[in-house]
Amino acid sequence: MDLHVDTYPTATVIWVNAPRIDAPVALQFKEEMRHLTLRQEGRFILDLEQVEFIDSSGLGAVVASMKQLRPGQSLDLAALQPIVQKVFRLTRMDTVFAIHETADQAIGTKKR
Amino acid sequence: MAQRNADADLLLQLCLPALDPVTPEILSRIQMALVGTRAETAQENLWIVVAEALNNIAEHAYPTYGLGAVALRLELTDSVLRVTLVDWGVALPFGRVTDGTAPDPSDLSEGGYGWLLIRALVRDIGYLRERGQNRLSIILDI
Repeated sequence: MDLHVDTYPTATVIWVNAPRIDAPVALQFKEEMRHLTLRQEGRFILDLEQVEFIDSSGLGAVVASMKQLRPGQSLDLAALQPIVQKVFRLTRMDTVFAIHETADQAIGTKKR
Repeated sequence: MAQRNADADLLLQLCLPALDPVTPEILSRIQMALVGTRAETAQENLWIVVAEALNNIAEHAYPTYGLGAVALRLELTDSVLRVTLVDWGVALPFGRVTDGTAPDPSDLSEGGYGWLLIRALVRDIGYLRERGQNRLSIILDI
């Protein structure tokens, strides 16, 4: 799974370069998120701009990514596309994550 | 041109391996089948529902051998989309679809959202176990 990491003064942006987070890739996504969040401290923004589709397994993997954070770390979401937004709303997981319109907005600057 | 069948147009009919990696292929065929029909706007809901139903079959209907087939038929009537999914695997527990009780968001559960999503997006869902087949009938508003 192609996850791009960019570090900014206010947060680390993880850009998911994949059209879907679903059952075939959920476990891999969770593992890669674990490795990424082990290497860095502070606030993470998961940029879902490219992600057109998520299923319940993918949702579980995003939730797991937050649960495996250490104290002092946090995970926000950005740029939810229509289906992703709908899945988060219907499962009420939109009440658990801070969700930003765009990653730029979340970090308070322009992405590189 | 879609085939007219009693009260409905047959948009898609296929039978493929019930495996998670096949689901995106089935979703893309569904998207193509909906193009130009009056059900195009129902694609998002249909994608979510069919993906969850297919993944349930891949995971639970064929747990031991890990390989089986799933057949899908997609029909469009004047007012609804009808999806029929047939597999030849293990029956659903208690012979019925679960009610899809929502996990409490604050529990941060990593699973249990599949049936909840299906229930939330369909008008009706029916299940029949017959002659070694599981038959799931799903109705979605268009």
